[in-house]
Amino acid sequence: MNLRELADILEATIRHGEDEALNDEVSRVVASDLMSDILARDDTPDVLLTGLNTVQIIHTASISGIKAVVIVRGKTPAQGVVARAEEENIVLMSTKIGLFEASGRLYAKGLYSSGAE
Amino acid sequence: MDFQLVKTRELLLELSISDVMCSQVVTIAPDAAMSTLREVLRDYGISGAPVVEDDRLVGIVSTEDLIRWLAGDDDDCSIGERMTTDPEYLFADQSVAYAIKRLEDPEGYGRFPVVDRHSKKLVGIITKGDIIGGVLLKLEQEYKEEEVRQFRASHIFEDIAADDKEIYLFYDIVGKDFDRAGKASTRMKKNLKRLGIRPDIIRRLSIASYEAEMNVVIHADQGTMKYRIKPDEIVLEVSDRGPGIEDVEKAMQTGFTTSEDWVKEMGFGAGMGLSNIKNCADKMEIRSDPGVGVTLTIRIWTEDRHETE
Amino acid sequence: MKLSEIVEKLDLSVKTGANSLDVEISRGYVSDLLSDVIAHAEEGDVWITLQIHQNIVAVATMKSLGGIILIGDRQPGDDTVEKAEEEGIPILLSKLPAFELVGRLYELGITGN
Repeated sequence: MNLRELADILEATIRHGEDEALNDEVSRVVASDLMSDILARDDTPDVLLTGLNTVQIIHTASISGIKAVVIVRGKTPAQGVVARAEEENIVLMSTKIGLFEASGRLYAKGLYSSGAE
Repeated sequence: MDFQLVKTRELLLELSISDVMCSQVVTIAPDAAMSTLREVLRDYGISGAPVVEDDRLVGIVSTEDLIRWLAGDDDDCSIGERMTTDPEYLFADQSVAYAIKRLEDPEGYGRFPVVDRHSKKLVGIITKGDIIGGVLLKLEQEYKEEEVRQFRASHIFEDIAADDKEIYLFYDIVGKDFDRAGKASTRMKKNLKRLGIRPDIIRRLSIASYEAEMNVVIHADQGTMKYRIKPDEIVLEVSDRGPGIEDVEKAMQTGFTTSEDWVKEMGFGAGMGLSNIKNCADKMEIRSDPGVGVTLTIRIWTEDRHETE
Repeated sequence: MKLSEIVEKLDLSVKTGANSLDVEISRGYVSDLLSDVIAHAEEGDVWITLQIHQNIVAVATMKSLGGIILIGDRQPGDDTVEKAEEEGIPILLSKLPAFELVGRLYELGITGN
């Protein structure tokens, strides 16, 4: 699945993402609101689903090599978040659906979890 | 992940069609006679040509059109009557990756005229051959640049003659400023890349550095980060002026936290930071003076050290 | 679906509230932010989180949640366990990360925001 398809499945609005970056294939997902939880992973997830809406989601993505961040539960990115996503070249989306439904839909489509054995 | 392959894919996305296309295009006018087409194709050794009127692309004509005309035994006529009108084309500013996708379509064409998006003028033509040539050239350039860059940065230690060599980098941390928090660590990550440090080491150091930076932002009013880069190890020293840690052993336990609720709502303060840092470091020390502050020292051994051990 | 069935199907270990597993669960909520759960979780939801602080029991009690599933092999502290037993809140443990666990609940027909 590429990021454009992922956005469709999640009915997400793309807040930042170059055309080319949206063609990136993704397979590993992390769903979390705790940045330390993400940083503690041994592997690098492709996508972060989070209910958190601060610039730290972009910093965390950048530090751990995550390609795309999806803010769930209908939140418009907070001030500065889009700008940081542009600077760090991280794909940023937001969606009305919540973390449970978003995880369920992507899992049903065959994406798998980061940190899973 | 295959680092080299990712770079190549990035390159295909970075390169525009205009970077690799052939801009010396043999074109033909719509009012030229069909009988002249054979010579044009033969003389230039091509199997088709864009049809252009006033610099604008109006059609494309190929060997197939010529054969069909010859086979029909028809009278001579203008190219305009036999060409394919509304030909498919690509824009000069589109990526090479996109051009490859279009050229790979089994139902599609082996060559596309290239048009400037704004002026709509024909500016070139692109085939798979142009892409291979263009990409190879670019790869060679990038490779040379990369070599020079690596030479400048990562060989810095070898280039400088001294008994002991170190690079120091300092960053200030402003306490309680959540918007700026993390910036020092992301900036540092870029510097480490430039220095040619191994990616897995960069990752461990960046994570440790980010968590340590957050700790200062959460608990103290101000602090500093000092990176000491030596040929065989990187030492990160994070000092703050804050309340200090009362019980270091307890603080190391996963899940133990003294963070206030506002910190938890920011996605931190779950008591995982110090254990994250410890997992990333080859060695970690905490010195705490209650009421004065904390100094956290993280050591990560780089390649050279591992090899000599 | 009964919480006890979920325990069985997802191989959860029951840390607290073994007597409160007969409850019917149809919805889930996943979040690590307490204020978010207070604001958006609904009565009877099963809550998926990696927070282990004893405040999770207070939140679950306040919102009358059906139970808490702690993910990623996180172990609650003694005070959390004590409080949960007191309130009769089931705390269930899973080794799976949140994404995987929620995906499996979704497969079982549990829905949520």
